[in-house]
Order: sequence, then structure tokens, then C-alpha cells
Amino acid sequence: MIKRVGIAVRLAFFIILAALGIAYTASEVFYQITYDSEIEDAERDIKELFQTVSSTASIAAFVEDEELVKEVVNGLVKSKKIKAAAFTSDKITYAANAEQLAGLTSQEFIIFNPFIQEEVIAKLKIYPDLNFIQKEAKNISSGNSLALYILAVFVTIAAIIICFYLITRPLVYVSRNLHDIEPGTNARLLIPKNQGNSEITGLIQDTNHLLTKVEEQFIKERGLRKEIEFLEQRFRMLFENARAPIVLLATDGEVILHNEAFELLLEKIGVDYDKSDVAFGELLVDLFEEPQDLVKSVEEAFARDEFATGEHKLKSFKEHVQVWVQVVVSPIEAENNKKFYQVTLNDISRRREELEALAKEAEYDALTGILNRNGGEKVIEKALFDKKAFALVLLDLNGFKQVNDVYGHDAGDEVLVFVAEQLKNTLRKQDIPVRWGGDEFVLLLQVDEFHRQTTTLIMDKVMEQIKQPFYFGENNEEVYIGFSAGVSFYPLTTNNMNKLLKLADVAMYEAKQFKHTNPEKYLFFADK
Amino acid sequence: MNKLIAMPHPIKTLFLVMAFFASSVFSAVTYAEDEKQEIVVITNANNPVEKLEKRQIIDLFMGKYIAFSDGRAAAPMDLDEESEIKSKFYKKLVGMPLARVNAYWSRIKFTGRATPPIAVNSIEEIDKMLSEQGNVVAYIYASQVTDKMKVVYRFD
Repeated sequence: MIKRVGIAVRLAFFIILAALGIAYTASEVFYQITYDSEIEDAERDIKELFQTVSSTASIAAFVEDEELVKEVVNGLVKSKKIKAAAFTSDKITYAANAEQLAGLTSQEFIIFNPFIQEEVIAKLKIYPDLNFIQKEAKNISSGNSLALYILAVFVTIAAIIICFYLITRPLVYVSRNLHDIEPGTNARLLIPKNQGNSEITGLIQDTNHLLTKVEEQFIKERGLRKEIEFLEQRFRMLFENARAPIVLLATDGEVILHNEAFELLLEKIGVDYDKSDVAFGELLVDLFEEPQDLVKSVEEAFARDEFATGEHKLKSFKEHVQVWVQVVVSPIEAENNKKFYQVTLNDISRRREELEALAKEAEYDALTGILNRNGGEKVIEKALFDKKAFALVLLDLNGFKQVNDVYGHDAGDEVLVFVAEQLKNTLRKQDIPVRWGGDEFVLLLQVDEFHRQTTTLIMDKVMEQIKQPFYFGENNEEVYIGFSAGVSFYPLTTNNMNKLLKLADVAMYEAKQFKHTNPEKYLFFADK
Repeated sequence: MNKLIAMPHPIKTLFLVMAFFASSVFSAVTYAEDEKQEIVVITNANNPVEKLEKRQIIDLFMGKYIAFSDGRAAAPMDLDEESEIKSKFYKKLVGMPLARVNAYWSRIKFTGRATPPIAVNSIEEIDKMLSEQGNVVAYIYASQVTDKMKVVYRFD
């Protein structure tokens, strides 16, 4: 406990100081008053002494009795207060202690004729013993002062004792008690004995009331804190353990908070980052292959007051890793009006791969990688729907069956892959090759008004490529593959797909006639 | 010191009561004879002194000078205590009751300096003294003045 400067000591000190001051001032004043009144008293006493002797003196003066005069004067000087006296009448002059008379102040009294009023017959001078009078006055005054001081001492002691028992001790008791009390506990101040209903009791009661309130507040706050901690734990768990990467962005797009799933995502695309920093601190858009697309879609969505959702591809720093994420961006406003963006990045790469694979399986030829018949039909239907003019070329390989029979299916497959490659390489970008089935291919060629010439030109180039010899078997025997093709035009020939195919097929069979005899005539156009 | 001369209350009251009685008694007695019973101071008819001042009478009767202004000795005559005229005379002369006059004399007598007047018992004795001595000074009622006397002072 901290040592406090004793209030009792201070109180006593000030009481003593005040008492001394008052006693000093009072004694000084009383001294002066007593002194003055004593001096006055002495003067009056001398007058009274004169009164006492005046009738005798008057008679003595009247009868001119010197003995009587002597008696009076000597009687007067017997008083301690009178130093000397001198009697003067026409006939008699007498003085006692006359040798001391010079230079002394005196009181002069007039003596009248005892029988005739107002007839002055003598004078009596009385010299007061000032030294004695002053000494006496001083003694009395000093006595009074001393008495005052003694009184002051007793009053002071009484005041100190009363203050100590009534104020100081209870206050010190309360102060020490309060000092030892831990706020928020059920400890309370005790009311000191004999306090009754004093202000100190009131102070203690009020203090206890405050302590009770503080305790209640503490308990309430503790409860709240527990609740908050619990919630925070839950939310943290929710955030940390979420399978989906979640990040919190500042308004400038900087990642200021992220969860573990996000770290896994970063690892997957091979981004180096500081693992100790929860903020990550990079711009999120920098992780995307086409950041502008993302920004644009988010801005558009926000302009419509919607969450921004979209599928975007992340940059990849690892080979053969392609990561697509579904991005959901929602603005968050914190309590202090600060704005953030919450971004969820769902990894949809696998789903996308599967979808792609599924789509390919359905529409593409697994061996050659170009469209299969199913895919081809869809393309033709779409072209018909779009009313886009095209040439449909039905192409059937010559010599394929022999390769298959002589060198096996692998060699046949090799031929098919080769042909598909050549088609892809030779055709223009806008043309589409389709493996129609077996060794049959369909080509959709975009054509203009010179459709026959254009088709012939393209097909000649294709023939050029495919005509190259293959080398199969142990002896590397030279094998040549050729083809026959029939062409129909949409919408020139017909606008029906089946008819287009049928007519192209007819034309192709015409060409087949010449496959041995005149291989140059490999291309026939369908007649209407 | 005040206390020394201040009389205690009961005594003071007693004095006041006594004074009241005394004054009422005197006034009652003197009232009837006031006018005709005039007091005069006389001396021998052949005394050269014709008139006396009041203060000279005071000096004579209170013992200061037992002499006339011309230096001749005087013989003041005093009547005995009980006589009515004595108290009247002193009352008129010095304004004191007899008790105080007596106190005065008892105070100064022992010093021997002053001599009180010669005490006589009656007017007849004064008459006798008048024939024996030529310097008598006495007080009598005006009605009692004879040929042998000369009035030297009248109390107005």
C-alpha cells in the first residue's frame, strides 16, 4: 500500500497553526487593550485616591493645618501608584518625595474651600508612578496573554482529538479500504463505527453503489466478450476452413485478407508469396490471365447493383496447369463506413475439363481430333440455320481398305490421322473438316460466287498433300492414298441437308468410276 | 479603587431614608417660625466692627481665624448641641447639618491648630459673656436682640 501523507497529521498541523495565529493575534490585541485599560484604571485610581483625601485636604487648607496637610500628602505617596505629591496653598507648601518631582508628569487637583463652594484655596499635584503602573499593566496583560495561549492549547488539543475521531480516522479507514478493493469484485466498503448518518456514511454508501455498478458492468462486459470470442472463433473457422478460396480486397483491389484455400490455389498455379503475411498484399487482378475482362465484368455487374460473377482463367506459372475459377465479387461495407470487396474464387478447372472432354467425346473424333459425324451434322445444321453459303464435299479415301487389310488397323489409323492433319493444315481457317465415318470425310468450305473454281482450287491443294507416299511394313513399301469426292452447294444445289449429302454422295460415286482409269477426275459436282 | 468609596447598597439606602426623615422634620419645625424667627449674628454694641462678611463669620465659627479683620481677637459663641437655632445657623452658614459640623471639629481638633467656638448653654449665658467680654460674636434669633448687642450680619 502506498504511504499517504497523513491527513490526521496535516489536519493537526493546520489546526495548531490556526490556533497559534489566533492566540497570537488575540493575545496581542488583548495585551494592548488590557494595558491601555490598566493605565486608564491607574489614572482613575489616582483620581479616586484624591477624592478620598480631598475633604481632609480641603479642611487642612481651610484651617491651614500643616500637620493635616502632611498627613494627607504622606498618605497619598504610600500608594504604590503614586510616586510623589505636592500641596500648595497660600500659607502652606508641602511635597513628599519632592526630590523626584523634576520632569515628571503630574495630575493637578484643585482643592475648594469646604464651606464656600468654588473658592479655590489650594492645589494638590499628584505624580503617578508610571514605571510601577506600566509594570503592573504589563504583568496583568502578560498574564492574560498567557491564559489565552493556554486556552488555545487546550482548545487545539480538543479540536485535534475531535477531528481525529470524527473525521480523520473514519476517512483514513475508508481510504485504506477503498485502496484495497479490486474493482469488479464483490468487495465493498464497511461503514466505520459511530458514524451514524453522517456525510462519511453517505460517501461510503455512494461508493458502494458505484462499486456495485462497476461489478455489474464488468460481469456484463465479460459475458459480451465471451460471446464475441465465441462468434469470432466460429467465423474464423468458417473463413479459414472454407473449401473455396476467399479473399478480402481493399477498394484498390489489394488482397488484405485471405484464407487457407486461397493459399492452396496460389500454390497450385505456382505463385510465390510471403506465407507469414495474412495480407498477401498483391492486386488480385494480377493473378488473372485477362485482368481487363475481370475488371470489366465486375464494373458492369456493380453498375447493375449485382454481385459480379464470372468464370475467368488464372495465370499459371506451372506447365500443363490451367486453372479456371468462378469469381464472385460482392462489396462489403464495414461498421466504420470502410468499403471492401469479398471475393470467392471457386476452382472450376476440373469441371471445365470434364465438360470439355464430354463435349469433345460427343462431337469430335477421338482418333483424328476433328469433328465426328455428330459434330459435323451440328455444324451443318448451324450453317443452314445461319443461311451461310457453303460447299459440302464428301470425300472417300482410295486405297485405305488395302492398307487396313495388308498392314493392319494401326497403319489404317495412321493414314486417317495423317489425312486429318493434312486437311487441317491445308484448309482455310473458315473451312471445317469432319470425319464422317470409316474412311469418309466431309468438308464444309466457305464459298463465294465462284464456288466451283474455289472448291476445285482448295481440293487440288488437299490432293497435293494427301498424294504423298506412305511407307509401311518391314520393307518400307511405298503406298499411295488417294480419294474421290462429290460436291454439293448450299443453297445453290439444295437447302436440305440430307439432299445435300445424298447429291454429294451421288457425285462422289461418279468420281469413283474413274479412280483407276483416270485419277485426275477425282472431283465431281452434283447436278440438280 | 472605586469599590473602596462606593457604599454597599443597603447602607446607601439607609442614608437616603435618614436624610429624607431629617429634612422633613426640619422643614416641618422651621416652617412656622421661618419669617419671624430670623437668625442674626451679633457682637457687643460697643464693638467698633459694624459689619461682617459671611466668609468672616465662617472663618470665625469654623476655627480658621479667631480674630476680627482689624486683628483683635474674637470670641465666637456656640450654643449647645440640642438647641434648634444651632442647627439652623450652621445650615445657613456652611450648608451642613450639625452632624457634619461636629465631624469636622472632631477631625481637626486633635491637631490643636484650630479652636472651636466657646460653647454656652443659653442666650442668658451669651448676655453674660457680652458684659464680660467686648469681642463676643454669637448667633441669635432677631427677636432676641437687646441693647447690648449689635447686629453685624443677617441671613437673607
